[in-house]
Amino acid sequence: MNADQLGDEVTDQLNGRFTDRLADVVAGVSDPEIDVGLRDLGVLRSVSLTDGRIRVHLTPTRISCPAVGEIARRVRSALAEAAPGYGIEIVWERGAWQPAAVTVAGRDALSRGGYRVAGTASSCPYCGSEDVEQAGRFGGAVCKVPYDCRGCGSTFDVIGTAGCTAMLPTPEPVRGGSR
Amino acid sequence: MPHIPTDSDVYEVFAQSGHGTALNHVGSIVSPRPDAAWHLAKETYGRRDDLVKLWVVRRTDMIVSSADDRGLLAAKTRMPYRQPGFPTARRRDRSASPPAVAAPREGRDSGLTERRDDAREPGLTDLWLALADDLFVLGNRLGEHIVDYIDLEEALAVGSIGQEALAHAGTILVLCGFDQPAADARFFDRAQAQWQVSRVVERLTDWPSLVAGGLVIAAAVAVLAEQTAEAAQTAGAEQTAGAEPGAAWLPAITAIRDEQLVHLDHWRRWARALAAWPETRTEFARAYAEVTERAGDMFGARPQSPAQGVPAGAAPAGPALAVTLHERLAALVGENGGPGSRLPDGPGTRTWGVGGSALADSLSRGRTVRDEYAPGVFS
Amino acid sequence: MPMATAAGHRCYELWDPMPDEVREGARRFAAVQALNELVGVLQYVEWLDRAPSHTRRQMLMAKIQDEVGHGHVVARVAEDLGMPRERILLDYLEGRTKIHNIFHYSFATWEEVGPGLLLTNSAAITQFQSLAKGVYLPYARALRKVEREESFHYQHALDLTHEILTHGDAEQRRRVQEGFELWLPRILAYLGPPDTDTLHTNRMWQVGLKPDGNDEVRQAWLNKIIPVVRKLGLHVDPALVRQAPSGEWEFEMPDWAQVKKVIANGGPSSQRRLDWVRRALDRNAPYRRALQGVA
Repeated sequence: MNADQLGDEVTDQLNGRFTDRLADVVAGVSDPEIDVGLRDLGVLRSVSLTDGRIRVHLTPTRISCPAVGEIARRVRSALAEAAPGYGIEIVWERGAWQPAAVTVAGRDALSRGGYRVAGTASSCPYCGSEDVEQAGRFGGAVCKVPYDCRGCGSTFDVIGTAGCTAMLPTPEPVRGGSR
Repeated sequence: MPHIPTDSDVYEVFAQSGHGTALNHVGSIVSPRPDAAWHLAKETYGRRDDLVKLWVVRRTDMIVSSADDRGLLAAKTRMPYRQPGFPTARRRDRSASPPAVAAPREGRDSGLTERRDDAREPGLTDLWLALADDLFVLGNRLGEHIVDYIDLEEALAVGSIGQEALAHAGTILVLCGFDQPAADARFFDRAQAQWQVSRVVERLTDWPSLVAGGLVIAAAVAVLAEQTAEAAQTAGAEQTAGAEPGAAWLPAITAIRDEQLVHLDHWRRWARALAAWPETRTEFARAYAEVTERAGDMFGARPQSPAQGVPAGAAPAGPALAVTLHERLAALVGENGGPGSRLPDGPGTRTWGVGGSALADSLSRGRTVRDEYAPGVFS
Repeated sequence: MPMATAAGHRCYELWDPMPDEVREGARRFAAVQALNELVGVLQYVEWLDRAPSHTRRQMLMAKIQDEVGHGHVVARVAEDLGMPRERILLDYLEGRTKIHNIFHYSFATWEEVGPGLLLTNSAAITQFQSLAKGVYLPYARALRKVEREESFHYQHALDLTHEILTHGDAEQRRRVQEGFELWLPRILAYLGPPDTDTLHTNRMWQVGLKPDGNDEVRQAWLNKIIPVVRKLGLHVDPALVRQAPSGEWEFEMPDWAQVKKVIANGGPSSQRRLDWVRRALDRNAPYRRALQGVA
């Protein structure tokens, strides 16, 4: 290994550590509506650094999430404070969010706010009762399905699958089609 | 009284995730066939956890309690519940869907065939841009119906579907390479003559027509998304030229498809309800016939000029593709169980400047604030 | 789970035996809020198809849907306490219930929407934060969630106002200022008449459903919103609102007789709101029956 290569490696490591720190900064940005960080919510996909430019990949919980503008603003301002002088680019990966990407800490934070994540056991986030029922197919926001707890009378939302409890199958034409 | 639900496509899923735990109801899924239901359940609920047991039961094979049974089922310790005047039943079970009505298929008009005199064949992006126009108008129309107070749950459905229609329209433009100002200019500053909406749009006036229009537009978007996803998968990871659909489109296009299928399902429920109910049957049959006979142009977009932001050199989609898409649309629309569809046998083409007052009003109101805004606000 | 509020009141869950006064009070609070969420959005619906960009239109639509969603949430709470949801709008049409004073007005310009939304939202948040300390826990939990979601719309209002103030022309900035001066007194009135010596005789206060007095909530709101408004660059006319050396906010007292008249459907848009609801319910009656009949 020559000196140049060694230098590159050190730079890479430093860069890596710096990028990790930037990712933590973005992870610490909280969702505008619920008290949960972007990484815990599964919204933060990756942070990279090339030529003095920070690129943040995010994914909205739903394509039509109205909070994308506010989230981007918060990420920009947090990064500008943590790493002044760097360019910031935010890339929205539409359609990439998965309920399974919510961390354990994220599930706890959501639960404290009165939310459950799709795919987890459907029990009341307040009292834990499993005597819950869906209160409609769509909620007040595109990412939420409303539920009622019959145990304690609370209302809560399940995040992640508005409109249905599972993906519908892909259409299979009765006749025609190219498949 | 316990009852047997009627929605035969719905399956309830029960799972046990560890040996120390009980078998729990984890959710429900919608599937046309039992074997597909099993796989979907495994995929949906078994993705993260190793399952010990998985039960998938067709909802119509179950005997379930209804709200009235709560008194019988309630533990004796919950005495306040039994006090006179204490609220008991509420919210009827909406999961059961109305019975399908078998309606004879009425005679179909032959497709409106117009001579294609444009310089090139339309590409997939042309088809998407035209559907984005439809989605934008539909989204706006639905916005006005959130506060129609049909009922609270319907308000939320209309709001969700409307928001998603607008967002899908915007996402399509992003995929096609538009930035925010260009997308706004396209949605707000084009004269009606430069729009290529489907003829369905001019009919988006009353509620039954919105149900029918929502249904065919959701079906068309789902069909085109499916086609695009297949094309993108075939193209593989290699980048395709310009903004023509490639692997980068996949996540968004798949999400759009899945969301539109949910919309389609919602409109189908409505179509079945309006077609089955004596008071609305005739009105809906007329609206549905008028909307479907206009829907032959769903995939009939003409090439759009590069000046409007469409990348030049888009791969031609070809007339064969329009036929394929149209057939898939016919299959999807025909499944709704409503009154006779008048969807033409073959695909027709779109014309510039249609959309009637539904589009004209939407455009003129959309410009009232925008036209007098200081130019700096949007830059 | 707290079984008593800070003021020492006992708290109640749905199935707990509770005094009729608490049950009826909570039901009324939730039902009135549901009505106001449902009819209150109409002033925003009127601007939906004039919102001047794709993003703004989406934001506005999301706001409208969210408010209806809040209506859905509190209507379910009221329903559990014996209030059928269908009655919420019927009671309004038949004059048995009233909407808040602020919902009897419309926005005259788009520039007015920003400050109107900002003031309304922040006041509602303060109000909900207070009511969330109440003794009926399912309603309290619903309010905490609603309040968090409202704060998202508050951000939107802030952004909209800021956008016009920084990029708009002089005429637009003037309209924002006017909008602020128009809506401030309305919101001061929305938070209710001064308590003076009436609070302690208020039954809802006594049973713990109304934890704070109107003045307390109003002062808390002014403490929060006036610095924000100043930071945005708006001028706060001392004739409208000013801070005394004690830190207490003083303001021009609303004309309560006039406010009462507005609430009794005597405001500029009162009739329009009633007509909208009546027409929508009538027009859609067959479709509603179809949905219910075959479901």
